[in-house]
Amino acid sequence: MKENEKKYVYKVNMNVDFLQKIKSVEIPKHVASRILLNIQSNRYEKISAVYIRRVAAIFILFLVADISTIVYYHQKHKENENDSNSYIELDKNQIYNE
Amino acid sequence: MDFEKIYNEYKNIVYNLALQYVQNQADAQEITQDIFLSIYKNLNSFQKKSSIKTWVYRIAINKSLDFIKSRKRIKRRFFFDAIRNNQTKEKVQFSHFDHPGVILEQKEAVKKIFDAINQLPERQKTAIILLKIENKTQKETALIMHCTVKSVESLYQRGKNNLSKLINNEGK
Repeated sequence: MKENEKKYVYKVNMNVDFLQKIKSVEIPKHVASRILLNIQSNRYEKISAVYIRRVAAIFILFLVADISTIVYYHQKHKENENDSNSYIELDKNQIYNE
Repeated sequence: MDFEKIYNEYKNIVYNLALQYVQNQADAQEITQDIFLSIYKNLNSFQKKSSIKTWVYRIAINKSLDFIKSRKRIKRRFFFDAIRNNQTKEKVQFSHFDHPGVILEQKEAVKKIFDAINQLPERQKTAIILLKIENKTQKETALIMHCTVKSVESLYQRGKNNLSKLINNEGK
């Protein structure tokens, strides 16, 4: 191995070995208890969020069903009206023809 | 399995691992909360194919990497905003180096190494963190990273070489 290469390998190892000087630390106690509390309380938030979402979904479903029923009956009513009008016009035409 | 027991056993391991990824206490605390929230949610679906420790490590690594990705997205948005306002010369930095495990005298040197580590590809970075900072064996690292011991070795070697190139380039 050339001298330059040796120096390079030494330098690389030095950099990485330096990382081993980093000490392990403890999470601050107040932070640890806050995180635990947040997580345990989050469960209830999640449940209520899911519950609200389900209720909203059912409400929207009923709303869509209601609207489509109203539209359907409205169209049917209009069709009936049109039918009765055409009968009247037919009668008039029949009179003139006669 | 009792969540509180897992929390008390792994909170420091998880916190330290998050610190190695982001080198900032506030961010590491946020990631720790995300990690344990994920553990809490998925505890019932844990299939015991690996040990609980390996599982916790995997979640911790994934969450830390996700956090960094989300930060990069925000950073990119800020960068484009800066271009629009002609402020590109100012470097947008989110979290400063605040690693409590580094003593003051070594702070500058370690910061320089971490700046280079942060530029490495994700898997190379993870291999270096697990092997050199967390002092895991190659076998343990392979288990956590879901790969073979040979892959870990090659990831570490490539990471080490890239790291040295990055540090030397910065010095020039």
